Amino acid sequence: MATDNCHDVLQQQLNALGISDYQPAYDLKDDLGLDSLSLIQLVMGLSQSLQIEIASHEIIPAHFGTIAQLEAFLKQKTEDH
Amino acid sequence: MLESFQQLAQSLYKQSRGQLIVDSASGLQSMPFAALGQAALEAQVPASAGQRVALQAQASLDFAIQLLGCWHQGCLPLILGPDQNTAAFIQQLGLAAYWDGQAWQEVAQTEHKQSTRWPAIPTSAQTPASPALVLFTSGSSGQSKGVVHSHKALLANISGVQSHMQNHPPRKIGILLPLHHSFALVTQFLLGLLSQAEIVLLNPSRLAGQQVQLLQAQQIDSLAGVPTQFQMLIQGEHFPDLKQITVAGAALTLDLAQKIIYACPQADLWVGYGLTEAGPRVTGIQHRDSAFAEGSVGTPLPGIQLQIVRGELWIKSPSQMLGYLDQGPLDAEDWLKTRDHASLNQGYLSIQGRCDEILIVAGEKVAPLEIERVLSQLPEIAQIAVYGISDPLLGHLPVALILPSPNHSLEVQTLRKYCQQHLASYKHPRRWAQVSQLPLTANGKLKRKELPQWPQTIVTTSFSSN
Repeated sequence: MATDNCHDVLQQQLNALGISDYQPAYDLKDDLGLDSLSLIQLVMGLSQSLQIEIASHEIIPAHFGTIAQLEAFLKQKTEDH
Repeated sequence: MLESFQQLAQSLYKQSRGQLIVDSASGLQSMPFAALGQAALEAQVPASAGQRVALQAQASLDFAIQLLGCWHQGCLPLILGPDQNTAAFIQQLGLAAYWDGQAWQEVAQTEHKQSTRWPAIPTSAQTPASPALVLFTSGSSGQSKGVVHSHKALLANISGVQSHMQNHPPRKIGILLPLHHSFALVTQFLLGLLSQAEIVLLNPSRLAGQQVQLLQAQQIDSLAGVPTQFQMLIQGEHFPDLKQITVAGAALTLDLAQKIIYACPQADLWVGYGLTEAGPRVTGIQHRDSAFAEGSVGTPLPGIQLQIVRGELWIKSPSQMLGYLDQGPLDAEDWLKTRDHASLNQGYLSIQGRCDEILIVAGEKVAPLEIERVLSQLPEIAQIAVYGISDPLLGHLPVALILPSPNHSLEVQTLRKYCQQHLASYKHPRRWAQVSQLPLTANGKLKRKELPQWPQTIVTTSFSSN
């Protein structure tokens, strides 16, 4: 349930940034062209929509590298929540 | 006491304190100031005294060495940011050489006569009034303008900042902003070199979590940046070592100020106002000042006069620029017109916004005209207009209103990719919308004031074709 929700919210947030065509293995920076300002918008949008708190120290390549890594991180956050 | 930056390499060479630490792609690198000074004295800048050279700003030891080396050799360094990194732009600057971040490159000279260029710089020892540095800023047309500063103007600004924020001489300064910003280069980097502090140049390509780890591990006690950077760094964090924080470049909301104070309980939070043309810092205020909560940006640094003329802030300052590159000198008695709407209350300055259409995105000036000019090159776009909406994270969020060309398909992905190739990232529109027409005067001029209310449909994937 949480996985589906995370997947959908991530899709909505990426769409809002003008990103609609992507795969789980895509790198947020290199493949999707997310710059630091888009990343701020994404983090804030995800926090609000999923009602989770993403701490600054959690914004690291292991969580924000690829789409798959981000989705796994969001799933873990929502389950912990 | 240093009179010009020509002596800085020699002065650092004799120092026993201070070091520069850089978070490079391959990890942390460091160099004591004495070694930095020695490397600068030995640097082989391929230009003679009195000539212009340009350096691509970079958070690296080599950038610092080459900059100090340029001054030591009596050259005038022009500091380039990503906006100025094009062959056509570099070629028209009248340079003897260009440092691209890796090595010095020759620059093909244009026919422009050197003798007609301004300013001329001495070929012998420099005086405090000689031109020392050129930094670039964006005008309302979106064209980069070179701001020329003298040695004494920059030194006056640094000493003004030091005396205004006198209670905590920094021990270890963390620099978040790229060094083509006057705020980072003058009032942090050069101030750090002159204070014999340690300087840590953070890597802008790192994610927030990596920056947090470095700030904490290095026990940085002084940090400056724009509000957006702090928004990203302080979520759920605690920085007990930070003693001094300076926020400038864009308005700081009271909400974010409170979050910063909570995350950094030992710190004095300073808000500053400045502009490249003014050297750059003009005012400052500490969070314990009663005017802070009212949103004031504080009182002027020593020797700076302010006046409000028809709602616009005018400045007269000992650290005022000499003039714009190749446009001739300003009269030292002239007031600098900032194009910022402002008010003064018992000596405290408050900024209300811009008098022109310039947007402030994450602390950077953005001219809608430039975004329109670049994107209108796409054949899929018949008409375009860009405006800004207020955004708590970025300051202004650039919005592009597009009338697509008939019988063309247009995807947001295409627009994003085009922007990535042709515009610095802070200039990218963050929202795209389709319109059926734009508000124009009878002469075909865009009525910019009507754009925020203009009927529009937000587009996230494809524009509908007619």
